[in-house]
Amino acid sequence: MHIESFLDVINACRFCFMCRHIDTTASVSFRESDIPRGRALILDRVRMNGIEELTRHPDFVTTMYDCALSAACRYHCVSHYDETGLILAARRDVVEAGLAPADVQALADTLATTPEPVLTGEAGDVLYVESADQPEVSAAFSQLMARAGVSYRTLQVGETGKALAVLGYRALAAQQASKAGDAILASGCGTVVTSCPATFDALKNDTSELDGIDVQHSSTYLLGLSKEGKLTAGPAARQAYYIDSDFLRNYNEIMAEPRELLTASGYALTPFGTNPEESYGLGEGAVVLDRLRPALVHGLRQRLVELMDSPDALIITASPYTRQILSQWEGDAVRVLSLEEALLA
Amino acid sequence: MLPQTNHYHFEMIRSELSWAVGDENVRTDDADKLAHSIDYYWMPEMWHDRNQPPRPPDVVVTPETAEGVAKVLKIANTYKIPVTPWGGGSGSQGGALPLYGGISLDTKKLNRVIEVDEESLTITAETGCNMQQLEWATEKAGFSTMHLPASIACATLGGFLAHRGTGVLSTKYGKIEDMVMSLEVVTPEGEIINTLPVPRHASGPDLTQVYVGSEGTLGVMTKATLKIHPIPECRKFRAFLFKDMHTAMAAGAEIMASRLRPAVIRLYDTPETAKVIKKVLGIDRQGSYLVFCFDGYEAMVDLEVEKACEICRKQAPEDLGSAAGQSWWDNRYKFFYPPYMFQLPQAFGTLDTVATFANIEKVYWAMKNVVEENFPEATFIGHFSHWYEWGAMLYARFIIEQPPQDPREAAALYNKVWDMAIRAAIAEGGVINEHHGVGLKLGRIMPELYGPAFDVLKRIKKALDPNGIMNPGKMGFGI
Repeated sequence: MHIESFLDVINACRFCFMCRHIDTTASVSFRESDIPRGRALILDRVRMNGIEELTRHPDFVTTMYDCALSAACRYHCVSHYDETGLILAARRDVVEAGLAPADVQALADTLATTPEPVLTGEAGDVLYVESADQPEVSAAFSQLMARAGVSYRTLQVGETGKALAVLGYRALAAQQASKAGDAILASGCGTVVTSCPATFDALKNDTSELDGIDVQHSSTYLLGLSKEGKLTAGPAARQAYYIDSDFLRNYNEIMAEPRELLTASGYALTPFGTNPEESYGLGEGAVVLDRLRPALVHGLRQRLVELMDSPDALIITASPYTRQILSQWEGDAVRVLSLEEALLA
Repeated sequence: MLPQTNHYHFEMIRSELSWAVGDENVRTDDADKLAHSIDYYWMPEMWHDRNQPPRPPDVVVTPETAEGVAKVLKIANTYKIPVTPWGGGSGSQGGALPLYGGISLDTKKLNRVIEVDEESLTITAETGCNMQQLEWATEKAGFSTMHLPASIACATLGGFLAHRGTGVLSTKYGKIEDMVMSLEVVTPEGEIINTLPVPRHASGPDLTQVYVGSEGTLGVMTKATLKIHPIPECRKFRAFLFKDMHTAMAAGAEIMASRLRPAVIRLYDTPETAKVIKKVLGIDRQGSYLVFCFDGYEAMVDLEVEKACEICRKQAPEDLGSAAGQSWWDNRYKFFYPPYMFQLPQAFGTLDTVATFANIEKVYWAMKNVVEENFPEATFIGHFSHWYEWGAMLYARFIIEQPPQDPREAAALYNKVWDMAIRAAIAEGGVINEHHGVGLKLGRIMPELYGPAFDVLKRIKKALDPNGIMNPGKMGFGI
C-alpha cells in the first residue's frame, strides 16, 4: 500500500497531539478522528490489518476524504512530518482498491471530463494559465497587465490534474497534467504565471515536464512589476486582512510576496483571527472540498466570519477558491477581493 | 455498559441522547470511537501498537452547553451508563479512557470565551476550549493566562483543571489550581452548580478545589474563570552548567528560599543533560544544566537575575549565559515532538512527584536506585521543573528501549516499574503525582498514599455520584 511509504509519519503522528489545535476540519467538526493523530491511528490499523480494514470500517474512508489537506499541521510540526502526503497516499490506496465512495467517484468522473486547453493572445514570453471558475480574477489580472504595458498569452486549461490527484486518481491526474504541460510547452513561453495557488503548486511541484520554465504565482510576478515601477499604488493606509493561501504558505512557503505587494499598493494589513498558524483557506488544500463536503466548507466559512473583528472588514485572498466561497456562498455577507482585484481597487 | 449496539435497546437510548443534544452530537462511527479509545497513556498506545483490539466507548456525545451535559448525565443515571469525560484526550494517565464503554462525553464543543474582565484581570471560558486557542484569545485581548505547558496545543482547559495541570511558568504564576477563580460544574446527577466567585474567602470549605483534580469522577466542569496577567515588559533567561545535580539543587533551593520569584527554574540531572539537552539544544557537556527566568519590569528583572546569578555562582558552575537560557525557552516545546519525544517501541513513563527540599533529593535517588537496580534494561533521567517556596517537583522518566513484544508481558513490566518507583518516592516523602494526575495508571496506589483519608475521598465520591457512573475505574475509586 502507498501508506507504507509513510511509515515514519504514521509512527510519529499516531500518538502525537501537538498540532491538534490547528487542524482545519477538526476546528468545525470537533471530531477526534479529524486530527492528524486520529487519521494516523486509523491508517495504522489499515497498515496492520490490510486494506480490508477499510471494508470493515467504511467510515475510515470517509474520514480520509473529510481532511481539508491545508498542511497547516505539517507546517507547524517542528519535524514537518508529511501528514498531508500520508492522507494523499491513503486516498490513492482507497481508489486503487476500488473503495472510493460513490460521491468521490462521481466527482472524479466529472473532473475527468475536461475541455481541451485553449491558447489565446499574441506571441510573448509570459503565459497566464487560467484555471476554471475565476473570470473576475483573470479580468483583474488582465487590467493590471494592461496598466503595466506587458503583453502576454492566456491558456485556459480546465483542469491541471490537481483535483484528481488530490482525490486519489493518480493515473487520470497524470493524463490531465500531461495535457496541460504539453499545451504550456507548445506556447513557447518561458514564464508561466497563474493566479490560482492550486494550479501554481501543480505546475511547480507535481510534474517535471516544465523543468526549465519559470513558474510563478501571480503575487511573485506582480511584485516584480511593482518593484519595476510598472504598477501604481492606490490610496494609502487602506485597512484589510490578508488570508494566506494553503498552497502558497503551507505548501510553498510563499508568505512575504503577497504581503509586500499589498503593502506597496497602499494596504495596511491587519493580522486575521487570533493566530498566524491556522488555515483560513476554507479547504483550499483539498481543491474540491467545496463540492465533496459542502456542509463542512459552510462550517469553515461560518467560523471565519465569526473570527472577523468587524463584519465590514475587507478580506484579501490569493485563492480564487477561497474568494468564491466567501463571496458567493450563502451566509453572512463578506467583503472579499482577490489579490489582483485588490491591486486595482 | 450500554446494550449491544446492534440491539434495539441501544437505539432507544441513542434516540434519547439525540433528543437531548441533537443528532449531530451523538456519534457511533468507528473512526471517532477508535480515536476516543486511546489517549496519551503508554498502555493503550502499546495495546494499539501490538494490534490488540481497542476498548472504545459505545457512543461519543458532544454537548454544546452545560444544559446539554446535564441532560446527558441524567440519562446516564437513569440507565446507569458509564460516562467518561474527554477533553483533548492528551492525558498521560489513562484518565479519559472509556474502560467500561458507555458514553465518551467529549467537551470540545463547550468552547466559547465568555468574558475578559480587564478590571479584575480574569477570563471566563467554557472548559472545552483548547488551551492554546484560549491563550491566543487572551493574548489578543492584551493579556496572558501564563499557563503555558508543552501540552497547551493538545489539551483543553477542563483537562488541565481535571488533572491539576501545570505550565512552564508555574514557579511564579502557579499551577492551574492557583489560577482558577471559580467553576461551573454539572454534578453526576445532572445539576448545574457554581462555586464561589472568588478563591479566597472564609465562607466554608473550598468547593472549587473539590472539583479541581477530580479527573471527571465527581462531575463535569463546564465553565471556569481564571486569573490573567499583563504581558511582562521583559522575560530574561540565564543558564548554568553545574558539576552535578546536588550542587545545582542547592543553588535552586537557595533561589527559592531567598524569596526571589523566578518564573522558571529548570534543573536537569546529569543523564538528562547528556541525553536530552544535547539532542534538543546541542549542548554536549557533562554536568547538570540549570536554566532560570525572571519576567516583569526590566529594572526588577535585571536585579533579580543578578541576585540569582550570585546565588548560583556560590556553587562554582560554568556560566552558559543568557543565550543558552533563551535557546531553552525558544525550544521548550520541541522536546515533545517526535522524534525528540520518546515513542514506541520504547516503553517510557514520567514518574513525576513532588517533595520538600529536605526530601526531594532522597526521593530522586530512591526512585533512580529502585529503577536501575530492579530494571537494568531501563534508563532513568530526571529534571526538576516546577519549584515552590518549600520544595520542587521531580519530572523523572524511565525508558526501556526494547520492552517485550508480547502485550501482556510488556504491560506487566511497565506496571512493575511504576509500582516500585512510586512507592519508593512515597516512602521518602513524595506523592503519587505532581501535575499529570492519577487516572487509571496510578489509581491502585491511592489508598496507600492517603491511608485512612482515602475513605473520605471515597465517601465524597459516593455522595456525589451514587450510581458510580462518572469515569469508573479511575483514581482508585473502582466501579
